[in-house]
Amino acid sequence: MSVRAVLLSVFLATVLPGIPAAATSEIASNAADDLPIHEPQADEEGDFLWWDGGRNMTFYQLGKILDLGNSLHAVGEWVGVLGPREAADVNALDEVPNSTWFTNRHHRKRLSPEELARGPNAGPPPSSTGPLTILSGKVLGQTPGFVLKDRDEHRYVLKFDPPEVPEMATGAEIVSSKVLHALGWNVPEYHLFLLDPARLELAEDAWIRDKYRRKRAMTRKDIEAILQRAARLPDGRIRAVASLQIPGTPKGPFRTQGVRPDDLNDTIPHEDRRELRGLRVVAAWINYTDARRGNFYDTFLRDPGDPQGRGHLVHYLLDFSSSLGSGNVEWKDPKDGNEYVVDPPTILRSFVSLGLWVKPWEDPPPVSHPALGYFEAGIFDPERWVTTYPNPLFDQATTRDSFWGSKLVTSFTDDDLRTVVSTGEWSDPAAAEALFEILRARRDRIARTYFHTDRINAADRFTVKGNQLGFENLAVRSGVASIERARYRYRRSGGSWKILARPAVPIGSADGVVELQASHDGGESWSPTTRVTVRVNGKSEFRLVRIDRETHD
Amino acid sequence: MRLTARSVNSGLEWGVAALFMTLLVGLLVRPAAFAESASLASAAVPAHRVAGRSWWRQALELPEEAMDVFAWPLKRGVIWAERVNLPERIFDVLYFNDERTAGWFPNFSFGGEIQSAAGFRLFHDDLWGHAEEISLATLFAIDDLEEERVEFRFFVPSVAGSRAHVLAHVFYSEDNDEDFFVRFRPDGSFGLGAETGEDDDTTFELDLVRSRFEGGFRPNANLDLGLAFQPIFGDVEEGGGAEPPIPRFIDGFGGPTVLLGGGPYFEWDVRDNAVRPRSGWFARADGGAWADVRGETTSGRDYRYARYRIDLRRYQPTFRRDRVIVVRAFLDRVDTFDEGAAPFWDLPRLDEDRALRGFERNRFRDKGALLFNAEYRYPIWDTWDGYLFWDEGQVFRNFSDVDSSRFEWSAGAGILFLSEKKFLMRIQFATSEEDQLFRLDLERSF
Repeated sequence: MSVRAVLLSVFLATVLPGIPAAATSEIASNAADDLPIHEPQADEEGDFLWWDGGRNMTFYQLGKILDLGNSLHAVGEWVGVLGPREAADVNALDEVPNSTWFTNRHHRKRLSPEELARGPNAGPPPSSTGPLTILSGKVLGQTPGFVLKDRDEHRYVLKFDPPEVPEMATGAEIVSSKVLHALGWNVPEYHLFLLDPARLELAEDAWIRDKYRRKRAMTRKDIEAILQRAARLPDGRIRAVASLQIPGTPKGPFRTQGVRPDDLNDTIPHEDRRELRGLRVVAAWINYTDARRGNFYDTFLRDPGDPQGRGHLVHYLLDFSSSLGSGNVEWKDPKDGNEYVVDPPTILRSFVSLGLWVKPWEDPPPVSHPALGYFEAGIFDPERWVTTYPNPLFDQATTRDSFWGSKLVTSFTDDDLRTVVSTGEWSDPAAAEALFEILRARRDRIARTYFHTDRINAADRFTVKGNQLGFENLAVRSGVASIERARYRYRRSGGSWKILARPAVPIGSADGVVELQASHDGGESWSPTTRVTVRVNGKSEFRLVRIDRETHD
Repeated sequence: MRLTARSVNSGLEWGVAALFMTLLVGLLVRPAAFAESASLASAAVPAHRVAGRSWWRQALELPEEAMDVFAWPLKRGVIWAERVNLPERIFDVLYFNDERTAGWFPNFSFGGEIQSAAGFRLFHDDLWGHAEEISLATLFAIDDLEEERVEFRFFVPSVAGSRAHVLAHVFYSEDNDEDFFVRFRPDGSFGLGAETGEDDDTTFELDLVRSRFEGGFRPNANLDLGLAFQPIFGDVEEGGGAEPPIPRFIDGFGGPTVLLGGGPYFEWDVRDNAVRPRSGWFARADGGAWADVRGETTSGRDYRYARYRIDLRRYQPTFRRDRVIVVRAFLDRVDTFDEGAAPFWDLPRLDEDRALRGFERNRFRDKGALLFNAEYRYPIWDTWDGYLFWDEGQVFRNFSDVDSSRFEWSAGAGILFLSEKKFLMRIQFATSEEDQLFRLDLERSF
C-alpha cells in the first residue's frame, strides 16, 4: 500500500465517523424528544452577553481550527473528497420532524388568515380592567419595561417603544413573532396592549436591579423613570407589548453548540439541527439580528401525572423587538445585518483595500417609514446577512439548510404577508404598506438566491399519483423563475435524460431512483441533481421513501 | 525595527489590565456564584448519546477542548464582571460625580520620552457648569524616580458668557537622557539636524517648566485670536544615558535659565468635525519673542530669540466624503536678535513625535523646521480609520539652506482608533532611510 493510500485511509477513517448521517432512513414526522426526564438544572450562561459575544468572536473562531475533525473536514471539502456537513435531524424526505424545537405549520399545511394573525396567542391579553400589579423591573434587554400580573394572576413582561420612535419596537415584536410562529418555532405569546399608567400598582415585594445589578425594592420613582422612557399616546396611554410568561420552569438559554448534558432527549448537537441552521434564512428575512443565545430559552414542562415529577424541555425563541428595522431604542444601523459588530475580515478587507472597496451598506437606501426604523430591501443580500455577532448555529448552515429555510419563507404569500403585517397595528397605513413591500422584496430576494439552479434543484413538494411523480418548482411558485422557461429532465438507473416542460415525471413500474434536474433558462443550464427514491407495494402503489438533494455550495 | 509607544490617559493599558483582572477574578471568585453553570459545563455527555460523535471525533476535538480549559477562568471572570456590572463599579470609583465630569484616572506610559512611567490624572471638565476644565496629570518613571512629568491645565471657554476664553497651562518635566544629535566639523565648529547622522547622538538632562497663559477671543465659531504669555524655565546638565554627553559649549548650558516671552496666535478652523475631520481647512499661526531674566550661554551671551510657527492643513474628500486626503504644511522657526542666542533644548525638532514619523525621537533639531505631510485616511470600522502617509521635512539653520534635495522622507501606514467624541489611539508603522518604527500612541501626529 502506498504512503498516499495510507494517508488517505487515515484521513477518511478520521473524518468519516464524524460526519452526521445526511438523512435518516426513516420518514419520521415526529422526533419523539419529549420523553420524561428529571428536571434539569438552570443554565444561565447564555444570559451573559459579554461572554457569549466575546467567545463567539474569538474562542469559537479559533476553536473551529483547533477542532481537527472540523479542520480536516474543511480540507476534505476543499479538495472535493467530502461534501458539506449536513444537518443530522432531518428525515428521509429531507424534512424536519416535529419536535420540542419545531412544529411544521404554514409551509406544510397553510394556516388560515385568522390563525396567522393569532399566531402563538392561545391565552388572553392582560385584563382590560382592574389593577396591574408590578412585580419587578425588566431584567434583561435595552427596551424599557417591567414584569406585572393582572387581576387574573396572569404574568406578563411589558415592553414599550422609545419616545422618539413610537410603534417601532412593539410592531417589530408582534409581526416577527407571528412570522416565526407560523413557520414553526416556539415563541412566547405577545399581545399588543394599551397601558393606562393609572392602573399600575406596586407589589409589596416588587424589586428591581440597581446599577450594580443588585436586587433592591422597587419604588414609584422607578416606575416613573421607566415610563419616562416610553412613547405615550395623546391620551396618556402607552402602547406596549405584553409577553405572557412562558409556561413551565425556566432553564436558561439553550446552547448554540453541543447538547444539554442533563437532557436525555437532547441527542443532536444544536449546530447540527436543521431548524436552527435554517432559522438563519428566516432571521435574515425579518432582520432578526439579535438571534443569539441570550434570546433563546428552555422551559421545563412537568408531565401531568408523572409520579416522579418528570417532564421535558421545550425550546423557544424570544425577543424580537430588535428585528425588522428596530434597534430596540433607536433605528437599526445600516451596518446591522451586513457585518458583525466587530468583524475582523471586513475590517481587514477595508484596511487592505485602502478604502477603494465601498461596502454596499455605506450607501444605504433611505428609511421607508420612520415607524419601521431602518429596514430595507434594496441592498439586502441573504447570503451576506449576519447577526450582531457570530452565531455558531447559523455558521453551520449548508445550502440544503438554506433551501429549507427559504422554503419556509416563501410559504408566505402576499396575502399572508399583509395579514401578519397588519397585526403590528401601525397607526399610519403607509407604514404597514412599506413593511409589506420590504418583506415581500426580501422574501423574493431569498427565493432568487436559494432557489437558483446554480445551487440546488428547487423541486419540492413531491407527490405520487398513479405512476406519476409530481412536484413543484419552488422558484416558479415564488415567481422568481418563469414557468415558460422552466424545464425538467429526469432519468432512471443511469439512463438517458428526458426533458419535460411540466413538473410531472413518469415513474415506471418498479422500485427505483428518479434523478431529476431543473433548468430556469429553457434548458441551457441545469441544476444539481435531486434523487427521489420510490417504492411500489403489493398493490402496485408507489410511495416516496427518500429524497437526496445534491448541492453546489 | 524598533517598537515605541507613548501614552497619556491610557486606554490600551486599561484593556490589558482588565484582561488580567478578569482572569484573576475568574480564578478566585467564589464557586457558589457559578454553581449551576459550572457543574453543567463540566458534565460529560456520553458519546453514544450524541449523533455523529464517535470517539475518533471526540479525540480530534481535544485541542479545542484544551483551549476551553485555558478560556475557563476568563469566562468566569467575564461572566462575573457582567453579573456585578464591573465597569459601572469601576467608573464610580474613577468619577467623583454622577455626571461623570470629574474624577481621576491612572496614567501610564511605555516607551515614551519618559520610558515606563505611571501616575494619575485629576480632572473636572465642567467646573462651574459651563464646560470649564481643570486638570492635573502626573507621570513618574518606574525605573528612574527622578524622571517625571507634571501637567496642569485650566481652561475657561467662555468668560462670563462672552466670546473670550482663558487658558493656563503649566508643564513640568524632568528628563535624564534626552537625545541631541550633533556633528563636529574638522574646523571645530559643529552642525545640527540635517548635517548629522544616526551615530552622532549625545544626551543631556533637562529640567523644564513650560507655561502658557492665554487670553483669546472668538469673533465667530471658526476664528480664535489671542495673546499668550509663555515663561520657560530650563536647566540642563550633561546626559546620563549611554551615549556621550552633549558638549557644554553649545548654547543652552550655563545654569538655570528663566525666559520670559510670548506673543499672539491666530487659529482658523473650518473643518466639518474636529475629531474625525472629513473636509475643510485648519490654520494656526503663533509667534513670540523670549529673553532671559536669568541665565546666559557658556560664552556669556544672553538668550534673545523669536519663534513663530505656522500650521496649515487641508482636508479634501476624494471619491467619497469619508475617504480624505490631508495635506499639511508646517513651519517652526527660531531667529535670534540683539546678538542673542536660543537654547538648543528649545529649538524646533522633527522626529517621530513631530510628524516626521520614520525617525527616532529628537532626531533632527535646528533653528528651523519645515515639514510637509500628505495623509490619506479612510474608514475601516465604525470609528476607526486606516491611513497611509508620506512625510517630507528638513531642519535648517538659514532659509537659504532649505533645499528639496536635502529633505528627509518617511512613509507608512496605520490605524486611528477614535470614539464618537475623541481620539483614542493610533497604531502606526513608519519607515525611512534610517529606521522602521512601529508605534502605539495615544496622541495624534496632527
